Amino acid sequence: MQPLPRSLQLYILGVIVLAAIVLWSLLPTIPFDSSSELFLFLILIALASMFPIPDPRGGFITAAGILFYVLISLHGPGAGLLIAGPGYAVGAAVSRKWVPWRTLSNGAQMGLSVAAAGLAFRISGGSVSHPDLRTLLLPLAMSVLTFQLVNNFLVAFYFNRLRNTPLVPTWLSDVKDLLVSNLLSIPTAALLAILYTTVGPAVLLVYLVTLPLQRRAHLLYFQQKRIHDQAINSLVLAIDTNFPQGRGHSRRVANVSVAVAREMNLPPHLVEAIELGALLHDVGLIGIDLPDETAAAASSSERFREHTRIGAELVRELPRKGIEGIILHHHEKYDGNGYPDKLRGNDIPIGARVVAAAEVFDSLMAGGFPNSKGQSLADVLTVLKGEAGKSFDPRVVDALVSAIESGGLAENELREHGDASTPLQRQPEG
Amino acid sequence: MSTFYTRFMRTFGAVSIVAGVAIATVQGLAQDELVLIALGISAGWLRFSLAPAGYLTLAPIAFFLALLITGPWAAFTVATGVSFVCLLIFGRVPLTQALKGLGEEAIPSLLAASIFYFASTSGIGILAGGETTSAYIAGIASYVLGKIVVGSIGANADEGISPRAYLLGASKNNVLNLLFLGILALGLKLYLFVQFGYFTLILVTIALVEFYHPWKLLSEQDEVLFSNLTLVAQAIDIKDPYTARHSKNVAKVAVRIARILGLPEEEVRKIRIGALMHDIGKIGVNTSIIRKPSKLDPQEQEIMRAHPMMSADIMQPIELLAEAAEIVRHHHEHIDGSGYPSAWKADRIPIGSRVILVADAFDAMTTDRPYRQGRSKQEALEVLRKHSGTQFDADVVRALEAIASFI
Repeated sequence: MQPLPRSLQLYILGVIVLAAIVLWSLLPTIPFDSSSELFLFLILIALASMFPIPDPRGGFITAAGILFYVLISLHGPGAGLLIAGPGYAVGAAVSRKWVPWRTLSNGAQMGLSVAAAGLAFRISGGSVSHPDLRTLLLPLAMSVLTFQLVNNFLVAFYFNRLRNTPLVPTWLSDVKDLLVSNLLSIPTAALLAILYTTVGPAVLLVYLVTLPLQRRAHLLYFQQKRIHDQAINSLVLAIDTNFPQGRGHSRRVANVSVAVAREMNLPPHLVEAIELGALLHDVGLIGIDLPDETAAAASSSERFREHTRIGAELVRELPRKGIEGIILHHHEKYDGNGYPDKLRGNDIPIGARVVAAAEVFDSLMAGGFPNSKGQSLADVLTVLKGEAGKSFDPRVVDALVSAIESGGLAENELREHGDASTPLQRQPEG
Repeated sequence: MSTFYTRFMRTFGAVSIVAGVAIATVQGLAQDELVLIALGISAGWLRFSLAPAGYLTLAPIAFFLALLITGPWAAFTVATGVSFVCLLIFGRVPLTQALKGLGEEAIPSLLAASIFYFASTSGIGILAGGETTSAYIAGIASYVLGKIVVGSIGANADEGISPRAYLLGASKNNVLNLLFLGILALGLKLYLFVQFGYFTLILVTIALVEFYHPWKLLSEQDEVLFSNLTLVAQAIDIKDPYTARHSKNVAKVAVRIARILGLPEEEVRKIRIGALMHDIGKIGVNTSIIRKPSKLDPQEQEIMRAHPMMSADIMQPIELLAEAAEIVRHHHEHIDGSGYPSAWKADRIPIGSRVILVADAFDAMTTDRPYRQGRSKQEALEVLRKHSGTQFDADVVRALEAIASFI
């Protein structure tokens, strides 16, 4: 194992010392007389941290997070730090791997975040004794927000030291990604806190019993999604073989399109639609036998041009929106000289503009119909830049160029012939 | 064309709206009912289809709470209001179908409300824990029972699904869900509502929706899958414009036959995938052969006869489709061994392949072609009957006859 960077070592030490100082100053607030309840929380949090549940919205379902909020709303910030930190550290260490420095810093980070959330709960006047919107839900919302801000900042800082990822953008995008699923856990946390005081600590055990059930459903969902995506992907690949552009064309166009869409910072649902649209952009070609003319003549023939309409017709019944337009308009040109509708500029759906550039890019790179053999990357980029504003949206061309320059698209990837195991949608990293 | 069942349910739905409004006017619409209706509609967002028919929803929690909080007749109003709005908004069905769905919901609700009313007024304390509680338990039990009976009659009337298949499939999950919600509602009333009021009920609704969400995603994932597979199938089918919907139709017919035959749900799923994909091997066959109206020459015939194997070869390496590949490979085998590619006989041929062969032939015969008009359903069935026992499996043909009126 390679040694940690010096600055990271300092950071870990700093977090641990800070956690110790905060703990010491909050010591008087900790209700040690109910130590058996605190011990129950410690065990439950450790258990819940052992089985993270991936959330389809991104990140993880915070089963332990719900317990954190119950804990701070009942016993305050000091207890939060004292219990949540070690509990989480132990759970994470058991489920992943015991690495002393990581376990310690994980625990300290989590403890600090929970303590901050507990303070936010106190300051905004939270209490479980007479629960309503103002006394319980709003303070809980405040503490969720605080938790998210502090925790994601610490994590972003950590990775900033370790891998030089940008600090503030990483921080904000993590907060954005995780906030919704955490806010949605508030009602459950509030209910558990109320039931805890009225019925007793045993409700936490009941809650814990339902966790494996939820976990199973989520894992099943991810597994199903992976199998389905893989199936569609492989089918497209099989169909691809019969396209004039040859095997792998659709997959590569999809990869390039996604990279460009990400580079342009398009919203995730649009990226997803663009990927599927790119994958299926030539689906209408299946029904068309191209006559044995020269390739160039064939590509301008009326029959060939029909494939955009046929394809759009086919995907109309898909439950996902926005794909039809991509397929219908992927041969439109930015200056209005394309087909089928001679749309111009921003009237062409953004997805279609992306796929149009990606398709030509791939045809030039990989060769095949209508160009006989592949060209070098530099030549292809020159061609594309020359067509910016004419055939293609200049912003799409810019994004394509910078995706390649930033390494978002590796050159060897651009020529490979498709691999059935490439997932259609990348899973959130765990 | 609507069956007696549909007309009856539609009428009942319309009547129950009127009854609901009447109850609301007579009793005066209190804040309680409005809050409960709002709760029920929010919970009703969580709704997903079950196999083989019907759907699961959280909306009944509002009815159950209303039984305990506002009494049976107001609860009936809540149930009709909630389910009507949910059908229109979340079920996205047209008005006539929403009325029918409402009728299907109103019957068990009315039954439960009546039982609850009589049990609580006549004071049959069957179970300990106070009269309301035992009346409530009787009410929930009758609701669940009513739901199953109406559901299985409906599945049979609409889709020709046998009551047995329905009871073993969808109703199991539905019953579990309803019992859970029933017990939950009782607990909420006793432990939370009395002390904290609607605040906690709202929290519970959101927590429940969040809890059930993954199952909804899972069910929708299946819909996405089948629409994607249908898309691929149709892309192949349009090689011949006259059969643009062939695979889709074959899948529909094959699934219905499979359900009549009482095959287990996993087998039905396999058959559905197989039927959708059975012609995918034609991707490699030249359009001029597929579209050729006259008789194929021996070489062309050879190419066409290879398509089941080509389809299966495409499917084999794909995890999801591999199981169905075997069915597809043999979907041109005949019972007497005169089919291809393996010339298998009778029971050696997978049941899925036998089903797809019949569904495939039925759809091919009833579709119009440029050179001939499609046969009528009756004529097509006649042909299938004539060759049953030699080409087709007699049981499968009989199953098709039983559901021919639904196609």
